[in-house]
Amino acid sequence: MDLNEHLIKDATSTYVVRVTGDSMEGAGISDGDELIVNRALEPRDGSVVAVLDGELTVKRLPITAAGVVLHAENLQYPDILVPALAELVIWGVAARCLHHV
Amino acid sequence: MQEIAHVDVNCFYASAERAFNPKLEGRPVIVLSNNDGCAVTRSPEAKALGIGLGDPWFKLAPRAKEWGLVALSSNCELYGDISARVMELLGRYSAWLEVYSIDEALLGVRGSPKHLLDLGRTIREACRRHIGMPVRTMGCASCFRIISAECPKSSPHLCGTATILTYQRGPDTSTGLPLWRAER
Repeated sequence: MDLNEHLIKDATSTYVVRVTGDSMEGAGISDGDELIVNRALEPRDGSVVAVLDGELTVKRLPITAAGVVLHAENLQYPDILVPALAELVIWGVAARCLHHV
Repeated sequence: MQEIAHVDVNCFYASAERAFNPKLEGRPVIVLSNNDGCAVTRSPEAKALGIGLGDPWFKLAPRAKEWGLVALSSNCELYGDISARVMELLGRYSAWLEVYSIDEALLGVRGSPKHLLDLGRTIREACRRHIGMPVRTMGCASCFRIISAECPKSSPHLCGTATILTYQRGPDTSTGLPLWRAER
């Protein structure tokens, strides 16, 4: 099995990002894991995105009637509410997590 | 009529570094040549400080802190990888692509000036979104000699926009070259 073919749908737009921190533990993304981020994907409600917030951070992206939430999958980190998706700089959408077991 | 579009990436090495380090956004950034000899790429902020292409690092270093200048050693593997991505993406928009340098390509294109302008914008947006690279100007002309002579590369108001050069009338008396008018 060719993992490149299996994991990467669009090599031109895909980057591997190493995660630091525990803010996405609840989504199975742990410190030191690698994410396969596809910049060509449109962020949808519930996507896990790499977003620019001073630096690159990884957050869940619930899109609600009240606005867009940057939601950490860890209760220690509060939600950040953003009025509109256009106000965020979404760097890319995480397609896969390479988790260390 | 088949035309040739010229696409290049704005301060390529500095932009490639910025794509992976957002903290460099808005700061003067230079990328140094082998062995950190001299500045080979300058971000617009670094150009505004008066740093010239090829300025030796030992002359810049004493003032770097005062300027808040970020000087990076070149990371050629990164630039090669990003370049390959840009070229692959550009290849989606034309069956004829000539990779002209690490950050420049020529594409065979067809269509009305409006169509070409739209195509330029589409390419610019795709490069920005898919790879995080700012494509600077795109000029179209019937031969590359005209593009290289007439493309308003250095005019700041056209930087980062798609530019279509359309034939106006007669040759320019000063250069003997056909006169081209830049349309936004």
